[in-house]
Amino acid sequence: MNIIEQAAAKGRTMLSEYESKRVLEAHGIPVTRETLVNNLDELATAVKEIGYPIVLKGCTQHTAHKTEKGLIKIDIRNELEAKEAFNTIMTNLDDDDKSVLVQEMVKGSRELMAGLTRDAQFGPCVMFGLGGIFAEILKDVSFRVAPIEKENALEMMKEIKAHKILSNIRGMEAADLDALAEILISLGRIGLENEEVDEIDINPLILSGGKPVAADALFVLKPA
Amino acid sequence: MTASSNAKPEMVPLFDPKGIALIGASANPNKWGFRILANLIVGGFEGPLYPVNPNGGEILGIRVYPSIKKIPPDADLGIVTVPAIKVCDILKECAGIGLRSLIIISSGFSETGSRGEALENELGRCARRENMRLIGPNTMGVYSSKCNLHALMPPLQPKIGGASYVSQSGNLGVQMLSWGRERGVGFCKFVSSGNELDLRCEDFLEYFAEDPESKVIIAYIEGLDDGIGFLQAAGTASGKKPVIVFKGGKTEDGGRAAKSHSGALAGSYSVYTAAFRQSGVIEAESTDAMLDFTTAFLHFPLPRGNRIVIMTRGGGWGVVCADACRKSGLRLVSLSERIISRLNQVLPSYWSHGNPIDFAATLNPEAFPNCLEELIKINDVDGIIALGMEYGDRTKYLADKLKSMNRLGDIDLREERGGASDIELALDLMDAYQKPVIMVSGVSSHTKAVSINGRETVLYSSPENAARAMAALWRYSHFLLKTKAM
Repeated sequence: MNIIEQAAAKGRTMLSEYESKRVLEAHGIPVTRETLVNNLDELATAVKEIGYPIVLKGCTQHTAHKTEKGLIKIDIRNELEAKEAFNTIMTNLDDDDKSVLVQEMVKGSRELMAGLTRDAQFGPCVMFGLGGIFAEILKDVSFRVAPIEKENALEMMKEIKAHKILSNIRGMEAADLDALAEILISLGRIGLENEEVDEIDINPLILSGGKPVAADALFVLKPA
Repeated sequence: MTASSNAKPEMVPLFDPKGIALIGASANPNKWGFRILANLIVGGFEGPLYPVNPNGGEILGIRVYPSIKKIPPDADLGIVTVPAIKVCDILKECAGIGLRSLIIISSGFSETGSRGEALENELGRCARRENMRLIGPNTMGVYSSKCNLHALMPPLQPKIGGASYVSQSGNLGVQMLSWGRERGVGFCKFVSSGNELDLRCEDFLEYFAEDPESKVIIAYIEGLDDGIGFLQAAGTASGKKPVIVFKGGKTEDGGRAAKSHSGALAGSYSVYTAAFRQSGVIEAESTDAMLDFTTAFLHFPLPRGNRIVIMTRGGGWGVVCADACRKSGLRLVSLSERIISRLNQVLPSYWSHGNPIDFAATLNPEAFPNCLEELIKINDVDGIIALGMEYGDRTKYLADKLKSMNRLGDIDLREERGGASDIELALDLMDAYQKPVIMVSGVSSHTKAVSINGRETVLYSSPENAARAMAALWRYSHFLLKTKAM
């Protein structure tokens, strides 16, 4: 059984960020380098491997809103900050099985979003849009019914109002449109192959240089 | 049921029947069984009509058959107007005489609640068992120009032409078929699909796509039982001819409670719009746009690109049209030095020297024809929007008034600009260059058909409508170019 099937079998309706990214990774979608830790010793080992600056996130399968619950600390630059952040997150976590995700801090000022929703009429539909804190405010998104081909994926990118953000503006590299298209195509495939998946969010999907990297992800499963 | 490969022959009796049985025919003029018979007679259906009513006798001079069993064997279409509760038995009787195509006008089915829904489910089971093809129930009927078939509840006299239309609403059917006449939209087939118990919107799309008489397909939809089936049928049809769809009830799409951005935002965007774009469907956002687009596809050649020039008699219209073009994905061609110097020879010295080409109120009747001839030749120009036709109507008013005031004397006050000869020239040039010249009336408040020496074209009412129609032509042309390239 894969991660999705296991979670669905237990009646869970959500995958943790860590689990979500493992599914994305298995489908060839680039994700942040990261590891799960349970104590300060493991934290030290993980930091050594990933290198500062890092992001620490409380790993939970119960909430989609980590920021609001004080479960995210970003831009951690030294051991002192790391330990403090680790302890705060562990306190704020209300899971029985507590762990913290140690993640590379992806540099990139352009935050996109990609995802999947299941439409009553058309089945799985792929979403692309402007991500980060603007996602909810600007609602600058486009959709296509899965399965999609590269042509559709490129159209989706062109369709958002902020599409110029993908070009080489203000000295930034142009976005790797092929890589973005691959992500959108894969999301559609995940939706078609996994009946249990109701919704997926990759938000933010950060452009690091021109390369997209999934910095956060959420899978919502169908209620049993 | 979804369309199968042999859907087409099954559709024939519904749109081109040999003989029609009207089950539930009535002598009471306030019953649909009377009105539909009257429409069939007045519409001029050439085959035999067999009204069925247990009372027998005659209605409107036509012999009435007391039972279905007595109907001659050349009836291949049944129109049913009996109360919902009796429809299932009627269907079985029809099956008994080999009548397998029915238009079920009767209402009182799933649209009315759970009892009606139970009746409809039972009807569906009967139909499948007897291998029947049904339109409806709760349909307003079918129109087909080929055989003068007016199997309709309201009396309509649609203009005959190349549009075929499937509507999930009867009202929007009446509206389009009525408005089409003055807007240059002629119909060859229309079906109100009713509750779509058997044949659905996508089945008709598939049929119209294969039908050589149908040049443009229109659909009004509110909901789909099989979104993917619709997508496939619409995609296949779009590869053959333009498919224009107006989706009603869009604001309800956002009803779903979602936990993710993807889910929540799907409502505000409408996945329907995505599905339409994916399948090459031209989405219209109103009944007006639906007719405007249809008439554009019926009257103009497709632009090969999105590079447009605007010809205008005044600045404001040009500005508004340019805005509308850019907003809908069209580009304004910039004029080369060479073109500008050529236009200098045919326009007054104070013209705009750019695109939009503003004639700046010149009264010279040669400006329009000369300019149009220069512009349509240019390779970089894919389409032309010509603003301010029919100005002669305004001048005629002036001349008539002056004459009635005895002030005109023998002054010959006439206006040739934008008149019949200009329109005719545009038609000739469109034929010769296969590029659209969309003309906008300076006096009409709605899109309207005009006929010049027996040739029909259409004049739009505003720069925005013209730009929107041009953009629709371009979107479809772009879809065809893209799919052929793939």
